[in-house]
Amino acid sequence: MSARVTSTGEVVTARPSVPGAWRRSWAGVASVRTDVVSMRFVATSIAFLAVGGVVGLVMRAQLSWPTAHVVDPEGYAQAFTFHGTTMVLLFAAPLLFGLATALLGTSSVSGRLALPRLHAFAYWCYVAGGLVFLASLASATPPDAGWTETAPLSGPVYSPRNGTEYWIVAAALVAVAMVALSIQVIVTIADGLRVGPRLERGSGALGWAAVSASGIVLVAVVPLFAGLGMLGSDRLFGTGFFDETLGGDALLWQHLSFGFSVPLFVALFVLGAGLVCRVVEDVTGLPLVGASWVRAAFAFAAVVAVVSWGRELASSGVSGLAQSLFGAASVLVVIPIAIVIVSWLATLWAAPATYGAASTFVAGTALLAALVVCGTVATSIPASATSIGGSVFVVGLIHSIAFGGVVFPGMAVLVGRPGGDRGGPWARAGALVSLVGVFLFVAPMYLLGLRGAPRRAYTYDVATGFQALNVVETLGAALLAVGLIVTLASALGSRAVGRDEAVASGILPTRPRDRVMASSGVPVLAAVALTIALLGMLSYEPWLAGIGAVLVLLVLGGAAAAARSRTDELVFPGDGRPALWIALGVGVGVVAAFVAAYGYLALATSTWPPLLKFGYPPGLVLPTIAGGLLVLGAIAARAFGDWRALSIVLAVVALAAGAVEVVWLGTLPFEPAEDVYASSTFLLGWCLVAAAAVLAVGAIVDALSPRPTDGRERDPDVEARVGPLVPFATAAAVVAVLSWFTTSILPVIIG
Amino acid sequence: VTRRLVAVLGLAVTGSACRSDAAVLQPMGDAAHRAQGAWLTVAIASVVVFVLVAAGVLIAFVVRRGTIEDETRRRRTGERAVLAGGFVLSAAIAIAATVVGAATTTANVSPDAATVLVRVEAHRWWWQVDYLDTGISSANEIVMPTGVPVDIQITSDNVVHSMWFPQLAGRADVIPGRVTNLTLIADQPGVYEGRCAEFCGLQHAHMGIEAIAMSPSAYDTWVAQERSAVEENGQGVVPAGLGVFLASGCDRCHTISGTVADGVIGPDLTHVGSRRTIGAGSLPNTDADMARWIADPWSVKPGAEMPGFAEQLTPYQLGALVDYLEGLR
Repeated sequence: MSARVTSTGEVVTARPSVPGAWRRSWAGVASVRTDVVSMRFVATSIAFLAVGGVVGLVMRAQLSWPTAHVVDPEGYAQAFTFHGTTMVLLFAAPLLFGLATALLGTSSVSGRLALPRLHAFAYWCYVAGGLVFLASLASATPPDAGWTETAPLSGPVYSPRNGTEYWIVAAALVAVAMVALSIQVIVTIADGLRVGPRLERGSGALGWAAVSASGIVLVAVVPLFAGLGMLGSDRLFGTGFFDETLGGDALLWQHLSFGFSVPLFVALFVLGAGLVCRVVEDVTGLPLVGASWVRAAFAFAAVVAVVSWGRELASSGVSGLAQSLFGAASVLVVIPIAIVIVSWLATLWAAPATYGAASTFVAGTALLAALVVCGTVATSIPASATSIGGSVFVVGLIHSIAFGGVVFPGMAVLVGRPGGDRGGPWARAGALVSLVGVFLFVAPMYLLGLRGAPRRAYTYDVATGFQALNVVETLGAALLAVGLIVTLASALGSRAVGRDEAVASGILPTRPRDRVMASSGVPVLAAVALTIALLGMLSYEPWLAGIGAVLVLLVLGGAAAAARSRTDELVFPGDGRPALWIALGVGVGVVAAFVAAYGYLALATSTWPPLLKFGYPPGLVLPTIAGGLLVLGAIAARAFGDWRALSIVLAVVALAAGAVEVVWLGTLPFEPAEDVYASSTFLLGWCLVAAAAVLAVGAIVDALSPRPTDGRERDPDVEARVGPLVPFATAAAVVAVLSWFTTSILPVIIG
Repeated sequence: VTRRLVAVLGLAVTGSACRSDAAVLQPMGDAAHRAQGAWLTVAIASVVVFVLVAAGVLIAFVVRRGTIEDETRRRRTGERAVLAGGFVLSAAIAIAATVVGAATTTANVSPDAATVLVRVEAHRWWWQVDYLDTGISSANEIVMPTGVPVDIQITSDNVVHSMWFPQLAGRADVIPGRVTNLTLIADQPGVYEGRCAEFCGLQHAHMGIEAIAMSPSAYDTWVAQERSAVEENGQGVVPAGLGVFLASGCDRCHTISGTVADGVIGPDLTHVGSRRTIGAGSLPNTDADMARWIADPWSVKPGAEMPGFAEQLTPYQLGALVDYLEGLR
């Protein structure tokens, strides 16, 4: 085997039996260079922004005239489902994580992210999720129950067709990608902590934001996976988790759905704010004013995020006490937002610099963040929250978060980097047009909501007088589209020039400093195999699921074995062993899910008393989700490779679990012993404990394994700082388990 | 900067122009009055926050920055701004919102003894209304006396809905298998628009309901009228329209008290002639619109469960049916 270096500097191992051109293009596709993969995330997400944006404009056209017929009612429902799913799952999260990992990678010690193959795996899972979702358009009936897929509307009775299955698979794949990205961020930063005192260069605000957002995502995906598993099993096996006639409860979906979406929106906002912090520092050349406040703000937001989902339930008949507590938890998020706004403006004010396009987007972000503060106060006080809940007001708040937390920060980075406040007059013009457009777009939504316009309504009557505001809104949307297109085109144009300049000035590394493994087929193939397995499970085709599961095992197992025997060839120190653990974890998880799903079919038809006692059997969902968490746990445990970093994550998960359990069960107006709640909290608690156990086992195994030398010196200070976290994490885990036991297991045993 | 100023000004103008139409901010009922305390807090916080941030943006971008020597001094001022504007002010807003939130919550207001009891069942996509204390049945309208608490128990046997009267109270989610309570008290006689506020399928947009408040004495008259009309239905000659109604199978879905029609799938039509709208707010209740609705409901509400009768009925039969239905008052 002979190695050679391509024109771009990648090391390619030549194999005589494969034609060179084919091999080169495959190597390009299967690249695991983390800067390349991060930019792929950004480019793909912008493509989805374009698609979702066009659909959004179609909806705007429909609502610009009362009783218009641009689309029929079904088309409108499909449109807002498509728009929401695309923008939240396929645009917002991938764009922000792509930009954040790109910046973290280039500013980390090694010039790249810690886990390149996991990064590529995340990307291909995301692409697979996007394609599966687009494929739903080709199905006879695309999903049309809204991007939150509210059960029982999305269940087998009211959406009896196959479009929703595509949505479930797509959401699951994107969630897997988000988990991988979150682990990537945490490990890369933990890696950096081992060798240096700072999370990253500058004030470290982006690092703290990225870690906080990643922590939120890791907690928020638990209810998402639980919900997807339950909805899928309702649709496939008729379990009836959300069907009251079968002993389920529709309110359960609201808990699970908001338990994901509310924290996710905070995570997106935090990550976007972190990116803006970096842009502000680049533009001004100054460290952030009040940086320690900003870092604390991000950490605080992470805690608030996971306890504030309940504000969405103010109109669901919960008690006044619960409403007040959830509202108080929710409104706390205005504190970190206010801190970062003032910090940005103070830094811009302090610097003797002139400002261009990137700064204009920062100004827009600050103004939109102010709107988010106002909207959050309105949606946190129960009395005002219920008086505009379900109205267009909420759509206004969501779009303020989307533009202030995602689009504008993303644009600021794209026109601002590399090399500061870049972008010619066109970029500035685009930024100003976008800024005017976004307020014309968003403000009418708040006003329409106050006037009583319901969201997700495909038409309205002339007599309502909603038309004027709708026309302004459409005008704003059109301006926004023009502004963003101009900005993006200008940013693309200046990027080629900017890159050389940035490399010359040291902002971008000339080459990643490690030797780089150019490509690996494992991530692509693993993502494809996972997609096949999921599609198989949800397409009523057991054989397809079986093939997918076997493929997953083959790909990852083979890769792991190969990695073991070629460790010396692998250029990332220690990167060989994760493959083995990933293989084991994914394999065990998928097989467990597979066996559980089909084992359940047999059990469900039996009259085994323990199953009947629970009202409905947790037999399917527990192992499926535990299998999924096993995957995550195994990846995480091995990926961290460091039990101290692990203990931080354990502490976060355990604390979040404890907080969720206590807040949830302590304030519910319902009897906790009621079947559905007992079982669902049982489920959640079980999953968290299982995840913690797997992580702990992985940590122990890892601690006992011989370590590959990575040539890096450890910083004894870091050891001293992180050490005390271990007893803290243990105590937190004990508290979480105890609270879970007393609140959800005891009632079941006693009751 | 000028453009931004114009945008902000435009926003303010639009806002004040629309204020007069903002149903949520024109409370006509007890719960909505309570919510005004919350909205006042929101308004104050919004004005303060938005004005401060807009001013901050202007200062940061427009005010001429000094020399490098100024930087340290500016940083120190900035740190103070982060503490005061970022932390202290926002924490004050959070505390105020929490206190106001606890004070204005309406969840624990229990209906007193002298209430009108109404049971509402949310269907796809209309509202079945049963007055538990008087035995009257109707659809898509809640007739209520002013000044008296009307205790509404809402249920659903299908998907999640939400009942929302912007001028009277916050929305109340309707969750299958659960009973949600909503107490309405209207200040003055009038018709208050309401609608479904949770996406419930294709015709979520056409799931309206109205609260019709009248003085207690007018309400008593209304109750007496509704009851006597039921008795009249069962007497005398069978009208031609009722014949068409029964012959066309309308009775499989609809009830008309006092006749043999006792279907329960669609709305009760006992007093359909007195209702203000057809199809849960889809059309005004006129003869022409009633004919259009019966002939082809999907022309206004595609996806509704009601089939069209355009091919089944002759114009004469349709006319007789409309005359009959519009006479049911």
